[in-house]
This record gives sequence, structure tokens and C-alpha cells, in this order.
Amino acid sequence: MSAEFESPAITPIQRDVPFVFTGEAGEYFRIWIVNVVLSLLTLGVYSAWAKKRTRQYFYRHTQVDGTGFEYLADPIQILKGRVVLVLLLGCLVALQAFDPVLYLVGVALFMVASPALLVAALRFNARQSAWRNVRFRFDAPISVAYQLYAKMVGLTLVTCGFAVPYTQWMWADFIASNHRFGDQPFSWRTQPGEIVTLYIYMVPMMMAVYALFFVGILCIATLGQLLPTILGTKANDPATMDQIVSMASIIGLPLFYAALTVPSAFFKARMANLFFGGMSVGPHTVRSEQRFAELLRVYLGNLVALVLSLGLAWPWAKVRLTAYRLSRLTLVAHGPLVVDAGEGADHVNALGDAAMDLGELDLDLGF
Amino acid sequence: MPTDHRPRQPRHDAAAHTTQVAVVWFDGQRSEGVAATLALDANHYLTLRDENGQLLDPEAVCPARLHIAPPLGDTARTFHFGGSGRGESRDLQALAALEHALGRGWKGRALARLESAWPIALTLGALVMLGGLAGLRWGVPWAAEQVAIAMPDDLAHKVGAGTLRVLDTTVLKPSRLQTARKDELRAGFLTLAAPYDALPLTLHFRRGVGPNAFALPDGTVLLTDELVALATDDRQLFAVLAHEIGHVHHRHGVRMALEGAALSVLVAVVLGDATELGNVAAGMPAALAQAQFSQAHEIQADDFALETLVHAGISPRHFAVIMRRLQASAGGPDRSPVTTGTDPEKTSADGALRYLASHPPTEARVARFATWPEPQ
Repeated sequence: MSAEFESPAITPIQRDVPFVFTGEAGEYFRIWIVNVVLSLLTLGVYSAWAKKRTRQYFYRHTQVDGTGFEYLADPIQILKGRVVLVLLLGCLVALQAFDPVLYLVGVALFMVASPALLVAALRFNARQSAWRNVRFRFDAPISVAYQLYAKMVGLTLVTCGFAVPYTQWMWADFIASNHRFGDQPFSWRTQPGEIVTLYIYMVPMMMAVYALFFVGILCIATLGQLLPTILGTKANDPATMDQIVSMASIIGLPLFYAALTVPSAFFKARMANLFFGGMSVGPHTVRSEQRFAELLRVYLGNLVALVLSLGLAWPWAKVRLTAYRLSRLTLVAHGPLVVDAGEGADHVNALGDAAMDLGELDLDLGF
Repeated sequence: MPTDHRPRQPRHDAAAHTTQVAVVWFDGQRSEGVAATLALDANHYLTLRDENGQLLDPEAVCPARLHIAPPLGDTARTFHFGGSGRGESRDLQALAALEHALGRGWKGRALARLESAWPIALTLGALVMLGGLAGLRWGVPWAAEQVAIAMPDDLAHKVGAGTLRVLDTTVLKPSRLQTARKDELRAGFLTLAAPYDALPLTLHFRRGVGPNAFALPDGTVLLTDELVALATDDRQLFAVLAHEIGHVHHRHGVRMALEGAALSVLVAVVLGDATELGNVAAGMPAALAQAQFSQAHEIQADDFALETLVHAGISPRHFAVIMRRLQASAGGPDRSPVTTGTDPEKTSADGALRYLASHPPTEARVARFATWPEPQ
């Protein structure tokens, strides 16, 4: 033990400070449904307040050493960002309708702007997050983001995508090590090899799921050929075929989606452990101990609940996932958790923040 | 003052009429809290004192400077006086009493009441569910139709203006039909289009995407060589073209774009950060709704085709014939083929997947055409 060689006065006292999540599904459901209704009634204007309340709900209920986090963003600022973004996206949609060529130019411009938007979003989010009235910060200059982006794109193209684990490491490193809490910089010690290893496990799992899916389709197709003979019905009877395809898609598709959560849970659990577990905030370190099987149970439960409730179980699913993730997160404090705030405020705007929100959704909807 | 520094309950001191709130004060310089008491006296003077009675923020005298975060569930509330310090309190009752004494915070209280009542939440949940389904089923298509109809002609016809150029450079190849054959078909097309002289309809011939026909919002109607070859009678082609003119007439291209945009907004509002729980749950309902919108358009274009064919003196049975030939050519009676639509890449399927297909099942579509009485 190092205590032998150092005087007790400067030996840091190490203690585990767990992240405690106190949010409840019922309480959040009521807040969520009011958010949804008011957002719809105000044609989306309230969504900025809804975002603030949602984020604040999860922040306040996430406690470290007895104090919850705070989300400080001004809804008006969020609203401004959203208006600008909706206008930009509206222009893109209009271009898509009226001039596909200009639309492609617009999309290209959007992609060129995306590193800047991402940095702006990270800056805004960090700046609006606080614990014990000390704010987080994200300090990377935009030029660094562009250099990194160029490297990532270049590497991906040159290696035909095989460098993705490495580029993901670069990006995670960029995000993790450019944050600060007060005057304490974050650092990240996860090695590229750890993420490469993760991919080496995950890719075969993913391929196995797809292989099973195709084997399943083949079986159904074969069965479809044989069944009319077995049942003695007319070959290629549309009604029989209709039933087979119906049954197969009703049972098969959800099973396929459920099966996909297996590699996804494995990847997300391990990735979270590497990402958060590799972090230090000043002298303090973080431990993340998510387990594949546990996260998978959470994912599958959420999926079933969402499908059966036609989406109304959303708040329950979100609270459950957050509670699990935070229950596996621990701050290992080396010394007291007292941090100086550091220098004063820098300029932030809400545009980047909104870009993150809507940007992710656009990818979802395949714009 | 008694020595209890952190009162759990608001204290309405009968003598002094003060409201006291136990708080923790963070000065904003360091992440270190100080236990303190926020007090409002009968003269509306505010004080913020630590356990030794020291004033912590000299600004904290004037209630006008006090900002208290609105209540949110049972979480601790924060407050500040416009400076860098912030306080936080779990003494929610006392804080509410202080706000009440200042005559403030009614908006936050109203919202909190709304958010804390289960009957309200469950009613709203049911309403959102029903309203959402009704909005998707009738509201969105109706609104898209109204906007599309209200759109000035030249604007509506500009939608998708560059699409043909893009298709030509990607999937479409020039037609190999003889000029005379093209002229023949074009003449028939113009006869069909004659009643709709307000529409800028033009017929173009291409090949390369299998037997198909599609319409663009600007009035461009495309017919593939493969479909011409599949037809056994030109009237079958005219039947398909009538369906395509229906898409242009009803502005289905514009409506699809509007319906798609409305869907994205709805999904964004209801789910917010849907990406967290995987995209499947968010994507499926949207895909389902979009497919239903598309099927409604197909049926409307079929209605139009029926009317136009009868008007032009062409038996609607030709539509049934060509549709069945198209289906057969796509490989068997179980899978309906690419047929006609505003988009060349649409397929339709039967079974449960039919709800996710852009086109309704062929047999259901052609029934009324196939049974149309032959003129004697």
C-alpha cells in the first residue's frame, strides 16, 4: 500500500460515492403526459419548456453525495434554437420537394456544418449542467473538431469502414477529455484496443442474429412450398400463402427485433463501462459496472411494455433504463468533493442544443 | 431564535409573522454547501443567514430579486437572487408558504397540480391515445389535402421538378420504342387528359425499372417499355395512365411530402428523445402511418381512373387485366408486384405486411374494375 511511503496527511482518502437515482415512473408519467398535451395544444411552442422540465426532472433525481444535478437552460433559449432549426429543416424539406439537386447541396452543407453544431451542442449542454452550483464546461475549439472529423472520415474511407472502432475511440476521447467540471479537467484513459476488442465480440453476435433471420426466412419459404402438398390444398393457393406470410411476419419480425437487442445490449453495456469507467474528473475516477444480461433484461422488458401499451409505457421505460444505468455508476472520490468554479461564463447559444435533439430524430426518420 | 437551524416545517411565528425555510446555500465559487435559513418577515424583508446568523447574500433583502425554480415532482427546488450564488431546499412546504406570502408562483403551482393528479394524467393519456390515432387516421391526411388544394397551381406543379433529372441519371434508361408507337400512345394519353387541361400533363417513355408507370407532381407521367410490352391491348395502358393522372390531379406528391413532415413533427413532440430506447419502437408506427396514407392515395387514384375510363368510353375491365398481369409478372400470386404510384420503388405485399405496404392488395383493388358490366 502506498500509505507506507506517504505521510497520512497527503494520502488521498478514497471512498465510493454512488450515483443515486430517485425518479419514479408514475411521477414522470404525469409530467410527461402534461408535456405532450401542452406541446400539442401550443403547436410545439411548449416543447422547449417540456424539454427543460424533462431534463431537469432526470438531473434533479440524479444525486451524488446527497445533491442532485441541475439543468439550468432557459426555455426561451431552447425555443430560439428550435425555431431556427425548424426553419432550416423546413427549407431542406421544401428543397427536397422542389429541387432535388439543391436539396443535395443543402444536405451536404448540413453535413459540413455538423461538427460545429455538435461542438456547440456539447458546449451548451455542459454549460447548462451544474452540481452544487458549479457548472460543467466543454472547451474544445471548433477547429479541433474539424481536424478530428477530417481524420475520422479519411480513416473510414481508406480502410473501407474497418477503422470504425478506432474512429469511435477518437470521438469518445474528444468528448470525454474536453469536458471540465469547474476548474477540474476530465481525462480519459480507455485505450483504442479495448474498443476494438468490444467490436471483435459484437460483430459476430450481430452476424449470428442476421444469419438466424435469413435461415428463418428460408425455412418459412420452404414450408410455404411444402405446405400446400402436405395439406392437400391447391398449389400456390393465394389464401394459404397469405396466411403463411401473415403468421411468419406477425411472429418473425418482432422476434427479429427482439433478437437484435441482444448484441445491442452487449455493446451498449460494455461501451458505457469503457466510456464512463475510463473517465477521471480531476483526482476522482468513475466506475461503471453495467452487465450485459441485466441491461438485456431491461431492454426486453421495455420493448414488451412499449409494444403492449402502444407507447404509453414510455416514461416507465425511460425511468427504468436510467435507474439501471445510474445504479451501476460510482464516483470514486480521492479526497473531498470540493471543486472551484474556475473562470467566468463563456458565450453559449441554444442552437447547438436543439441541433442535437432534432438531428438525432432526423436520422431516425430517414430524411 | 431557538437553536434548531433546520426547521422541517414552515414556521409562522405568531409574533413576528416570519416564514422560514431550511436551505443549503452554494456560493458558486466552490462546490461546497452551507446550511442556512431563508426567512421572510412581516415587512416582506428577506434574509439569508447561515447557522451562526451571518448574512450570506447581501442582495437577499428585496423579494423582487428572488427567483425560485418552479416545483417539479418532489425534487428539491433551487433559488437565486440574480447573483452567482444559488440555494436549494427540500423544505417544499415552507418554500410554497413563502411564495404564497409573496403572492407569487401561481403558474408553477398550477402546473405542479396538473402534474400531480393521477385522474388528470390518466384522462390526458387516454385522450392523447385516441386523439393521436384519430389525428393520424383522419387529421393529418385531411390537413395535407387542404394545404395541397390551397396551394397555387404553379407552386404545386413545381414540387419534384428535378426528380425526373435525378431518376434519369440514376435508374432510368432511354426508351427503345419506335417514335410512331410513342406517338400512338401519346395520342391516347392526350385524349384521356383532355378534360384536365389545367394540369400540365406530359407523357414520357423510359425503361430499366421493370413494368411500371408513375406520375410526378409536375404532371410528368412515365411509362416503361416493359409495361408497354406486358400489355396485350393499348386500352390496358390507358387504364394505368388514367390512374397516374389521378395522382397528379389529387396532388398526391405534395400530400405525401406534407404528411411525411407532419408525421416527423408528431413523433418528435410525443417521444422527444426517442433514440435512447432504440429506433424500432419509434420507427414502426411512423412507417405504418405513412403506408396507410399511401394506400389511401392509391384508392383515390383508382376512383379517378374508374371515372375517367368510363367517361372516355374505355372498359374499366382493362385496368383489372393489366393489374393482374403485372402481379403475375412479379412472380406468383402471393406477392403483388410493383404497380403504379408516385414512386417507382413501391412494392405491395399481402399478409400482415399489407399494412406496411404502399399499395393495397391487388385483388382488393381490381375487384370493382373486373366486375364492371360490359357494354352491350
